[in-house]
Amino acid sequence: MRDAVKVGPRLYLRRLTEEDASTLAEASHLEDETGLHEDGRIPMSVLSFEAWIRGLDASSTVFAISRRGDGGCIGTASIRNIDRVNGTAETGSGLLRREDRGKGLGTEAKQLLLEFAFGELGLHVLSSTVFEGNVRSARALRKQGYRLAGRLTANVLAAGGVIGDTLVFDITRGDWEHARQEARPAEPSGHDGAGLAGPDDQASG
Amino acid sequence: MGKHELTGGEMVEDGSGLPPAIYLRGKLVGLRAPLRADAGDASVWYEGDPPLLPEAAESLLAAGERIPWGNNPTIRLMIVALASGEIVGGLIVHRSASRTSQLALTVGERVPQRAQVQAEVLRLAVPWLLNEVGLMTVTIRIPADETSMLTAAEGAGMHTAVRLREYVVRPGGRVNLLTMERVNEDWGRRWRRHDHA
Repeated sequence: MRDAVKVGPRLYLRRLTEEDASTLAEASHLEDETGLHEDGRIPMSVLSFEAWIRGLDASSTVFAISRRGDGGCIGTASIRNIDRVNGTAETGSGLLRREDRGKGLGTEAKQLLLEFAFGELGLHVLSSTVFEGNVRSARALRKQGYRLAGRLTANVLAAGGVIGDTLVFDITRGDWEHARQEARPAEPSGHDGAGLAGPDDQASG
Repeated sequence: MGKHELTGGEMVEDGSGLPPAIYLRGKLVGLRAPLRADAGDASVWYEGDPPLLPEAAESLLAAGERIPWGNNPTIRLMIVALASGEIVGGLIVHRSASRTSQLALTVGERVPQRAQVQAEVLRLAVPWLLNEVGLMTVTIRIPADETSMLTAAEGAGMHTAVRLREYVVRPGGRVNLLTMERVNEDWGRRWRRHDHA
């Protein structure tokens, strides 16, 4: 496992590098699920991902999600808008390909992300947003211990010109610790978050 | 800015060479575009923490004003006291895809009639953004203990949409962070072809 930061039973999180740009760009061309991306599916360039990765600063931590035994990138998990004064940040994650979704991999990646955010970063509260049509990601957040904090009305113009709301969730350190105590041994859930977690990966929650 | 009252009435020349927009002018304050010279007043209008030095403020203003003709997704405006011409705060509008927006309103702690200024700015800005700029939603994030700002937002027709728990650190504890929003119910319904006879 190269540059592993957090390691789970099947996955690990590592730092995203410019070498991952082509994987992200390819996934943007191959996405076959609609309704996950609030601005619709858009083919994106390697150049744009390289520039985005180069431009990441201390306010964001973006990981590549990799399978153990394989250093490739099957998704991204991010902690954005890190506010070290208030101990807050926004999380997002997503799996790039349909065949990886619905197998509990997204749940495992989110767990690793929360461990890093509350553990290594020492944050106090995290928030996450999901397009209301992305039922799978909303369900995955609840499963992690996130609670619905509210709804931003007409915040998203989704595929087909449908205007939808954005659901906002939060999770405190206390929620997370409680969820960990309640957690049973991991098993495939079929309730992954899904979708390409890009520069503004709100769609994936 | 001292602790004297802000008085209403005619705008006085503040030396900026740029008057508050006539459509964004209330009884106490008006809103105008920033000038390079405003860098010296960054302690009043800058929304971040810690305060900016004038040199950094000038760079910030220049970097943020590179897109002309109103196409900049971020609109920064100075809040100017009409009677004195002094800058008493700042307003930023972050637009996303020309549909949604988030405001950041800064009015100095020592500004007299601070609550009235906050209320007046939101009463000017929110209808303008919805009805003229054509945004679908306007939002603003306000810590739950900032009662004057919450009152100002409610006065501009905004209501609580999101409540993030324990999101802001205060001496001795944490408070919730509220997102207030106002939705343009007519957005999308006003489209029509103009007849050009």
